[in-house]
Amino acid sequence: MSSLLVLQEYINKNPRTYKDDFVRQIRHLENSIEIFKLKPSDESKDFVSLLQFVSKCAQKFKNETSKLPHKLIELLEQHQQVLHPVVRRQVVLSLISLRNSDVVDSKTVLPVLFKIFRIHDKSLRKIVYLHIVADITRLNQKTKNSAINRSLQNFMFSMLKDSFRIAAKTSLDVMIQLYRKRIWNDERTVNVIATACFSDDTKILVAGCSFFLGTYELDEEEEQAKKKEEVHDKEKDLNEIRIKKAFSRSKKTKSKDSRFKRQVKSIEKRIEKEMNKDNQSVGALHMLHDPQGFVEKLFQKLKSSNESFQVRLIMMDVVSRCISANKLTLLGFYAFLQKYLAAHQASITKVLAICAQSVHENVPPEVLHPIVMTLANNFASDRSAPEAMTVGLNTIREICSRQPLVMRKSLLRDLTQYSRSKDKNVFHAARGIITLFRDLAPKMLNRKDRGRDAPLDKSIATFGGDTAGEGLQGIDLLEDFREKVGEITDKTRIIDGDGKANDSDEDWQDDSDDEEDEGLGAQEFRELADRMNLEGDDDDDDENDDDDDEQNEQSEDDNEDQVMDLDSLQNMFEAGQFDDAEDDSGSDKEESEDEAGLFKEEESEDEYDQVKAEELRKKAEEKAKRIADLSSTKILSQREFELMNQLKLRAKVHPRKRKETVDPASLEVQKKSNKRKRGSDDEGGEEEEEKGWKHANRKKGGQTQVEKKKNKPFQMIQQSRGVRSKATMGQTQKRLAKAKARKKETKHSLKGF
Amino acid sequence: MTKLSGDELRSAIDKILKEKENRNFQQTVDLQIKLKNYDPAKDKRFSGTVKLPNETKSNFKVCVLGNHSHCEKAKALGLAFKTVDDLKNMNKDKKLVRKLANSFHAFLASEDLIVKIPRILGPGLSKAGKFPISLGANEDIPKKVDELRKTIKFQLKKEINLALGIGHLNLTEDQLVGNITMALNFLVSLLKKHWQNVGSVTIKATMGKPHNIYP
Repeated sequence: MSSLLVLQEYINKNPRTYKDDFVRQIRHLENSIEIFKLKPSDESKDFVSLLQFVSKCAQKFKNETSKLPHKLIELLEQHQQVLHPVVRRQVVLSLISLRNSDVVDSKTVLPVLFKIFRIHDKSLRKIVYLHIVADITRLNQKTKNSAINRSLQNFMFSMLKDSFRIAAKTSLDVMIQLYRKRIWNDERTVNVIATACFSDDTKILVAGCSFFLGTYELDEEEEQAKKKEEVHDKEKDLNEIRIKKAFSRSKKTKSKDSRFKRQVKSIEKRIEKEMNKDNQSVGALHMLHDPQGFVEKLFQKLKSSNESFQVRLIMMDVVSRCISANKLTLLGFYAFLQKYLAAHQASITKVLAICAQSVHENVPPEVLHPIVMTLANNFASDRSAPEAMTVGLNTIREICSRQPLVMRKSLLRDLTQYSRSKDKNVFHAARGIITLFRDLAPKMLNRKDRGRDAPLDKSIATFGGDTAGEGLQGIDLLEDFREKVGEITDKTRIIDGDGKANDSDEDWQDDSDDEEDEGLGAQEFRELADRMNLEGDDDDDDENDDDDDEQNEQSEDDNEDQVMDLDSLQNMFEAGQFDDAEDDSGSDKEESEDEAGLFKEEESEDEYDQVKAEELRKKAEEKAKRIADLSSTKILSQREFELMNQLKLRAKVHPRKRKETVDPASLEVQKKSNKRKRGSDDEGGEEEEEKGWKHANRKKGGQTQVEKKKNKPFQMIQQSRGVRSKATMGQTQKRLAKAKARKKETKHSLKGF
Repeated sequence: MTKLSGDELRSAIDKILKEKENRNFQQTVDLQIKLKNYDPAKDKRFSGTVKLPNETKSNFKVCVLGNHSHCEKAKALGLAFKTVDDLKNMNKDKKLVRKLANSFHAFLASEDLIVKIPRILGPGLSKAGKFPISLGANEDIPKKVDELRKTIKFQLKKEINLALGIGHLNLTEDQLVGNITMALNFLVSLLKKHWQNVGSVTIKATMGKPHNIYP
């Protein structure tokens, strides 16, 4: 034993000299392997130490040890289960170390190692798992080694069907880990992992499903180490700030204190974000070969499964996410969900989120209508608690934002009644529905809910309607902007030249008024324009000029049209309002809700709407034509795209974006965020909290000693040490003067000597 | 360079039109775009449809899945059509539906029928990306077909290369320029960083040489 260690040291220092010794040892080892095969269950200490020695020195003698791995593999394959645990562990370790020193290639070693997963030895399995992940990572470090990857993936596929549960689970873990590390992030891996979702074993099924949800946590040291590291980083950052604060010599003020707190909070937030960032497996749902088949099969399994509810919930989530990601049609799923939609259902918000998530625009509204009605009856009704109402309304909103056709006018008007609710959360939820339909189809809302200048021509596209855009959304804004910039620069030139020209002055004023209305100051216009011109190439400018000339003509025509339209609209509007007022007064007198009266009002309203809507439709058509013309005449540059985005933001023309997933928290009562919002209105949430706390404290305990001292008459504390030892300014000056004088005296006296 | 110049595009199209040889079929003009700084596994995939100013295919096959009146109209116009019974006879057979989807470029369906189509045919049509477009009772079928003929669809899947036909060689130069301009503008507006995401743009006729117009 000790002699082997000594030899190992010598070899490390000078391998060439001790080559013969090493070869002798190798031969000895080979012989002892043969002997060992006869009695594999023995614990032979010599054998273990010999293996240890050889694997440590193998790097120096690659040629001599080239046969050894095959012998070890043979031993492992034949006597895997019967080997003595200590020996087995050493054999695996030396095999790994031989692989690490490149004596043998991974293609021969990995299949054997995978079989180790079948052994009841947790620590050994962990060692092997870590090695496999590291080894495959190393193989694919520079370039993807597709040949080996493919053969290994095939092997894993067979491992997933292994009868020994733990072996299958560990192989799955390996794959998920490699996907997370972006080493095996191809479709093949994803589809192999997808087969795990149909496993009969609960653990494997949950692992496969939660992989697709991005929530799967490999209970690994690595993960924990990562988290620890992050916590460490966080603490480091926080400490830095704390030290900075402690050592600052400036005055301690409230604002500085709050700034410090804000910094601390932002760091914590940032780390939280980082923790959530590694959810890359969400994109995996896009990589499935046959998503429709996958979903159908999983749904079939879900229907007949007798797993626990939590597991079924995970399966439901995967189905709904896959439907939403790939816009699949699985009509049975909605009927299936309907039976879970009751307020007393366990983890109901999760179910509701799953339900809303699975809706997309290709789902026929007829299929969804029962669900919405169930929600309205079970949740958004007067009988249910405010929390249930909030959740129900929010879910309906989320469903409608994905498939608006499901909403009927009568139901919508019923639901919007809740905006009169006393409960704040219900009120907000109902308002959410109102704002959604203000955007989608204001005509469906009650008149007073529509808001000012509601685009009445807007209606929900029919099912399967043509979604093709006529051109670039917002390109007209860009052109308008360009015209205005052109006009303004022209006018400033005129004013600079002969500022007394009355006509131009008036025009200028008119113009600036217009801009203020739009919320864009002339100053901003010019700045943006300057930036455009300054950065633009010469080519660009020329083209712009040409375009401008053309568009100026066009715009004049447009303006005239607009004036006409506005006038006619104004008339219409006044007439309409007059009618409305009459109706209102009538209903006020009656007070009771006369059905016939309501109907009449609605009718007149509809008529008025129709005329107005027609006007607006014409306008929209013109606009569409203009957009189509503009976007097919000129290729926009990068800068123009950026500018257009800015303009779109200002004009609030932004297409509604559909999120793939629905967060259950977004459906729930949101007390916290409301509080924060209220706080931010005046001083910032934290300040307010602080204030509240201080106030409460004062009420409880009375004043502190320091506070009391402040209000005491001076005579009472005049004799105290704190006051007596405190020198006034005059005293200090006197003392300094004395000291100075004494110094002078001593100087003189020294001179005297 | 952040911009593709119009002159370059025009000259490339000019070359394509000059180079054209007579073949036994109608050649299309393809637009091929390669993206950069874009990871389809990580970034969000986009899709969008846009109506170009001019037609993209000359032989465009549309099938009307309609009620009685629409089927009559389609018959009169000489368009292919299928009645509800025809569809029901398919019995959700995946192969038959796939065959139907493959043999047409697009589908139109009557407004009252379209909501039932997922139930009648199963997921086959939407899987092929050819879910029908609704047809109102009073809508003009030829006009609708004409619109479909002009419509193109950008959809990024697993590859970062996009290729699609945006016209054919019987169109004039101006028509092709209009189509390409609109298609490019629309695609670039879909990208997160606009031109900074575009690696290269190539146009070619089916049997012709490719012409790189960007960068």
